[in-house]
Amino acid sequence: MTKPIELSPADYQADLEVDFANEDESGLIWTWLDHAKDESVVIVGAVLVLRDGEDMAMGQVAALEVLEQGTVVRLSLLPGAVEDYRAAVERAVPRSA
Amino acid sequence: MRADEAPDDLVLLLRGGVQADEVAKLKSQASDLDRLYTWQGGGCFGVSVFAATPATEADVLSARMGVRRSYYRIKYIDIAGRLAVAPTFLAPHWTVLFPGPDGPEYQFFVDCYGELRDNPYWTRRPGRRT
Repeated sequence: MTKPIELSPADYQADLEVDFANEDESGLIWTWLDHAKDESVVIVGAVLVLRDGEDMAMGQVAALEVLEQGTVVRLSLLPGAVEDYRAAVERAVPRSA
Repeated sequence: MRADEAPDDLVLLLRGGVQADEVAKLKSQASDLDRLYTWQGGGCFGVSVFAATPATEADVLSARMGVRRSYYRIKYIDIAGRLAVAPTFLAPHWTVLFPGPDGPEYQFFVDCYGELRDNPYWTRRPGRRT
């Protein structure tokens, strides 16, 4: 098995900027939809790359809440490093003929 | 808000990170919070932290801050006289509250950060088993 290559946060373009400590009453992380690089990819169930300063993690959108002052994105954090997901996807890519 | 008391040895664990302008980052976080919540009928300018005592610090770092490469450890007693600190949502979540969107309290809080510490429980390292 190939070892995942560790990349620096600067190597990634995150889907969404968050504060990993911004937890709500249910323990989900929340942020504003307008902090997304591309709002169209932020849909319920989507798996996203999240960034908070130097820290990165994968997250899944649990809910979107439309309010007068904007749309709140509620997320659950997924385990493991971003690089682990990338390595798994690369292993799954079909070999060229 | 919970009814937790703040013990004298409470420490606040705040994300580290590479911030070119820490005060601006705090103000941005505080404005994000105010956009969503109110506090005692007024503005809610604050930043989320996890709180611990020396007895629970390792557990909080490992169980709740595994996503953090580094962190600041701020003593509650160093800021309690000037900033409101409230136990909010689910323990060990707390919120450090600022009087408004601007002001010297932001720099005061940054001045209380102390040294940047590596989180020995950082779990987002490639290939690491959690």
